[in-house]
Amino acid sequence: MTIRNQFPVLQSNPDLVYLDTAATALTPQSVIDAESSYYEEDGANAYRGLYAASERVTERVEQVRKQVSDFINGSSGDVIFTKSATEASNILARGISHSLLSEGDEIVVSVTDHHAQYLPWKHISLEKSLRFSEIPVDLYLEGVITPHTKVVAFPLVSNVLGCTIDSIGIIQKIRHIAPHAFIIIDAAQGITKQRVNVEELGCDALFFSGHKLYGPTGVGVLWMKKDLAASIPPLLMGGHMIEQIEEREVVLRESPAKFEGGTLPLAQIYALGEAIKFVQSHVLTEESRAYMKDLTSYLFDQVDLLGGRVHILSPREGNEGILSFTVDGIHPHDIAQICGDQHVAIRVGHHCAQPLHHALGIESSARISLGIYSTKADVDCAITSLEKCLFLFS
Amino acid sequence: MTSIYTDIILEHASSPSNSSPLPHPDCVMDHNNPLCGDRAHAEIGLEGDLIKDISIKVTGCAISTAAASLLTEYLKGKRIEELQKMNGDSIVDILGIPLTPARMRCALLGLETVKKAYDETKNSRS
Repeated sequence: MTIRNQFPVLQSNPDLVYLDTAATALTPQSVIDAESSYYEEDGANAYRGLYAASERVTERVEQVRKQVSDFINGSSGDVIFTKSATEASNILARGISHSLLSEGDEIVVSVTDHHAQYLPWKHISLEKSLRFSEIPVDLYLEGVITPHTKVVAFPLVSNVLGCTIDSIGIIQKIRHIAPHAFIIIDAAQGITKQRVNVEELGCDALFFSGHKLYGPTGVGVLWMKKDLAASIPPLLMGGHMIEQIEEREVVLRESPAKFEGGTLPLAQIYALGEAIKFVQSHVLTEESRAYMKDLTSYLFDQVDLLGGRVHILSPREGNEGILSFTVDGIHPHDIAQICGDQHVAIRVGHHCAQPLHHALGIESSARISLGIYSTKADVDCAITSLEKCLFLFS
Repeated sequence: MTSIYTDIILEHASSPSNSSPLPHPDCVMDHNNPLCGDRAHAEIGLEGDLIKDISIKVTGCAISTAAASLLTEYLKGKRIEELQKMNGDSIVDILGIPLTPARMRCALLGLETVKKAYDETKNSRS
C-alpha cells in the first residue's frame, strides 16, 4: 500500500494537492482507528474507576506516556499530556514566572518562535518589567544571552524558515554564559524532522502537538525535567491533580498528575500513541528522510525556475520541506486564492510568526510545506498555479 | 471554478481610482486587518452631508485594493447616509463576484476604514 493510500482525506478529495503540512499534518487511517477504538471499545475515564474498562483506559494512557518518553529519550523527566503545544508553552511560562523569576532576570526567545512560545514570554516580560531579547535569525548570541538570562526559548525548526539548526551547539553556548537558565524547546515542527533526544539536547523542557505529528488535534505533549516540574505550579486546577484539600491549603499531587487537571483527551492520547508508531515506521526512517530531502530539493529547484519576481525566504541548506516566499506585485492572499482555485492548498499570512516577518521586513508571505504523502506531482501542480499567478498579475 | 479575478478586479487592483490624498479632507482614518497586515488610509471631503470627494489608499491584496477603488467611485457624490447603509452585501454587489468569508475581510477593509473615518469625525464634533 502506498503511503498516500493510508490517508483517507486524500482518497476523499482526489483533486486535493495538500501542501500545508506545517499547519497540520493529514491523519493516517491507523491513527483515526486508534482514536475510534477508545469510543468503541473502552469509553471510560482514566484513573477514576475500578472496573475493567476504566482500568484499560488508565493502562493505555500510561502506556502511551511511556511510549512518548521512549520516543524522545525522556526518562530523566516527566511526560505531561496537554490539550495542545500552546497549552504546554503556557504551563511553562506561567509556572516559571510564578515561582522562578525574580527582578533582574532576563528572558530570551527566538525571533523565529511561533506565537505559542513568543507571546507568553513577551507578556510575562511586560508584566514583570524584565528585559526581553530575541535570538536573531542568524543565531548570533553575543549580547543576547547574558549571565542574567533566566529563560531561553527557541524552536528546533522554524515554521517559516524550515531549517534544522544546531540546537545542541546553541544550548552548549547558552549554558556556558548562563548556566542557570531554563532552556525550553518548541519541537512542534521538529518532532517529525529529526530524532528528538532530550538528553542529547540538554534542554529543561520541550513540547509538541499531536496534530503536527500525523496525529489527532486536541492533544499535546510537555516534557520537563523532574526538578523543574517539582518547582512550578500547574496552570489549571481541577480534578485528578490534588492529594488533599484542607481549610488553608491545597496539597497537589506530584507531576505529571499535578499538571493534568480535568479529564485528559483520552481518545486523542490513544491516537497519539498510534501516530508515534506511524512516524517511527514511515517518517523518521532513513528511506523516508532521503525521500523528503530529495523532494525538498526538487521543490526549491522548481520554485527557483519561476524567476526573479519570486523571493524565497527559507534557506535551502538543512531545509526540512518548508518553503516560504513572496512574489513581487502579488499579495500572498491572491497567491493563495489562485492556488486554492486549482485545489492547491498552501498557507499565507504571517504563520503565527509576526516578529519573524517584521525582522525580514515583510508583512506576510506564502508557504508551501511538504508531508510524507507529498509528491513531485504535487510540487508540479503548485508550480503551475504559481505560473498562473505570475501571468495574471503580469 | 470561476475565478474572482475578473478583468475589472485586476484593472482596479493595478490602477486603483481615487487613492491620492485630498487637499483638505474633513475625515481621515487609518485602519488595518490584523490577520494579514493589510492597511487602508481613507479621507473624505464633505459638503454638508454630501461626499464631495473621497480617497482610499490600500496596501494589500488585489481584492482589498479593487474593492476600495470601486467603493470610492460608487460613493463620490452620494450622501453620507448611503455610506452608513452599506455592508458586506453592498461590497459584493459592487465587486460583482461572490466571496468566501476569508476574502470578505479583505473586501471590507476599505468600507470599514471610511466608516470609521466619518464616525470618528462625527463623534469628535458632538
